Amino acid sequence: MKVICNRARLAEALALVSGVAVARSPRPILQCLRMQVENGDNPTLTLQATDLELGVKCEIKEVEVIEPGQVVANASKLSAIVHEVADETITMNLEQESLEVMASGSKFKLFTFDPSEFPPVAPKEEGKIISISAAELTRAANLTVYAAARETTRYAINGLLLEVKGNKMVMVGTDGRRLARVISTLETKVDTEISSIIPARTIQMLSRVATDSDNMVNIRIMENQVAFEVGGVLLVTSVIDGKYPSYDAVIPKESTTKVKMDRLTMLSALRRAALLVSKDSRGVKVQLAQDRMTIEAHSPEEGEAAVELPVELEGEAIKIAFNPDYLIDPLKVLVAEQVVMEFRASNAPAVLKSGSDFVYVLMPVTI
Amino acid sequence: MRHILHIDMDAFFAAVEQRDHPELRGKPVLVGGSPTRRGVVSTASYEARKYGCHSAMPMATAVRLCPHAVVISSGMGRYSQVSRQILEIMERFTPLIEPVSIDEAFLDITGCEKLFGSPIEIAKKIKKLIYKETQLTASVGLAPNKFLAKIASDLKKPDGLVVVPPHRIQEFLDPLPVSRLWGAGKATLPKFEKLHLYTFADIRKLPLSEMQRHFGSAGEMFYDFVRGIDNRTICTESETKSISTETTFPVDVKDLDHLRSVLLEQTDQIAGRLRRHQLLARTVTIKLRRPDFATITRSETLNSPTDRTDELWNTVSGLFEIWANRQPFAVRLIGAGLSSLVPYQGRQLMLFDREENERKQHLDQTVDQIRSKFGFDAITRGLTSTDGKKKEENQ
Repeated sequence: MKVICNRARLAEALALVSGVAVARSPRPILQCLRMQVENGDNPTLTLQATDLELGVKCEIKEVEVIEPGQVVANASKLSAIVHEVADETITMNLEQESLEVMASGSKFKLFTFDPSEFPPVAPKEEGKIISISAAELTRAANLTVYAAARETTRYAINGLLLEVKGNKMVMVGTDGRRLARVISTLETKVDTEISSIIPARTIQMLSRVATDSDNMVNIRIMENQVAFEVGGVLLVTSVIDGKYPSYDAVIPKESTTKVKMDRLTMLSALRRAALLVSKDSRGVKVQLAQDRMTIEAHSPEEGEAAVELPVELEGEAIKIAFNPDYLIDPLKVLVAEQVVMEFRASNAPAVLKSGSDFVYVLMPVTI
Repeated sequence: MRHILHIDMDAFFAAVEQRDHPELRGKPVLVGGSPTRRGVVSTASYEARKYGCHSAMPMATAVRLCPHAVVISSGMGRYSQVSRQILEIMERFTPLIEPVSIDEAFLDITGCEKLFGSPIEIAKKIKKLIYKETQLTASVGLAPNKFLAKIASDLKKPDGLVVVPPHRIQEFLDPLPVSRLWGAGKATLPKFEKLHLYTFADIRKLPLSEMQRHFGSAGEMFYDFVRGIDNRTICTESETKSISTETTFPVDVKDLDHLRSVLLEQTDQIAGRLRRHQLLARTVTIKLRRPDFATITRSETLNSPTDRTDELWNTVSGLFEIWANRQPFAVRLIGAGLSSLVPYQGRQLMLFDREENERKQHLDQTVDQIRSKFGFDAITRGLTSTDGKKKEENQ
């Protein structure tokens, strides 16, 4: 195997792929990536890595193939080498059992592994394919992924729920304290209903992969796997086995108080009040009355904060408390100028809405 | 000399209900679980007590004794709000407050005389303020220590104030029946009877060595109590950084089931203490000591802090089973502890399983209520045959 490759393009692909390879493993081959060089009409260098849950495959076309072949070598080392050298191009050559990496003034040799032992990165079955624009998929991912749980024993909510019904795709993230749901419209209809729980890490990767918003993403949904294909990158992930909580049941259907406010004003007000929340309870008190919202924080050790902002209030005055971080998260990623919040009682879930497709349910802290 | 107050709200849950629902005043009220679903009485109003109803009694029995009683399922959220209000009144007099449960607390008012008057005046003022601000009555005991104050508050319920002057302690204690002895539960009381000890005066006749021979380490405690000696200090909420308990075995223990049952009782105990202090715990620790004194601890941090016994036990037993599967050894001492404590007020509410959560919380609070009236042994948690086994399979 011998290939000359555009260095910047290779560095970018390696950063993505080595992020999936395992940092430390009793199976050293999982710390590696597999490179495959193909000639013909379409010369390509394909990089692959997997941690056995998530696999990634990335194609580079900016190559000059001298000799096709394949090699398996340590991912983070190769990535670091390509990152450090400054040349326009880099030459990689498999010489006996070593991968030689050559740039001006430097030559590296990396030990290699048997490519036949590398776990495959490929969908296991046909599955069902849906197609969605990269822009819409990243929007849905960004609006939900922060709400997913991290390493809870309730395994299902460590992932994001992906549901497809007709021409609607629903993505849901929750950690048991708040829940984000976004609905996207697909260009094509699907005849069966699909429901899968995708690890949050895969969804985070997606927003790095689907950067070119004009691209279409093909989502292949299988029994135990989901694959995303976009612009020469393939992500294949095992789905989380488990029962996702019935999210629809916790989205309040009615409210007694409704406020409309400027998103960025609200975000800034919360950030200011959050500076003095108590370490123990992490709550800010929110009071709504007469078209004003007052946000108060009190930290027994440090002091207190009070921030006021104008809102359009409909319905009853209310007093309620929240962990401000849980409101800051969605306000940061939304784009609309105005957002709406709805309340029912100080111990009942509150709702943040933007447009007709985004709903965010937030449980209060007790006052 | 210290001045300790024990303040105990009278038929607290029932009184709150009667206050908020005037139509219930003067009527027998039973607060607790449903009579059809094997619920128990948390509180019986004084009107219902006349018919023999009392807390910890099966609701079905209570309803049979007093068929015209109004049965109300408890509104824990509201009760703890009122409880908070009462604590705030006490805080005006002293920061040294130890809440024992939702409806009782110890206060150390030593040295408050200059500010608020004599101890008796303070006791009267607190009673008056509680009534003025919550329309509820409290019974108060004033004594030089916690043990005496607690007994005193119970003597003239409801709306009582009993003072135990230091020179009349023995006179006050001697005629009391042994069942009033703090820490004497269903295991100890029959022993007293067997030894023909019926009153405090009877117990006082036994020398310390005899007491220790019959009652082990508790013997010394009883020996002190019947003499009115109790040096326990007031343990305030803000001082509580961690809650733990441990047991040293007379003989090293290898039997895993025995260790499990000790650990369960310890968990049950510290969970109750956690709730008494109105705290939630985020970190759970177990401790095991080998015969050679080498000690290991294992901890787990929960996703969200809790005060539920079942959740704490799941974590404790999870830690224990990992140890039991990997490196079991004969154990000289075993213990369980809770740390990273946060106040119950200001806790994050959860989206899912709200009904189940409320039900479990209610169960814990009922158990606490029963224990605060009848002692820890009045009700115990059992290990199911799948405890341990289930965990082993999961490893």
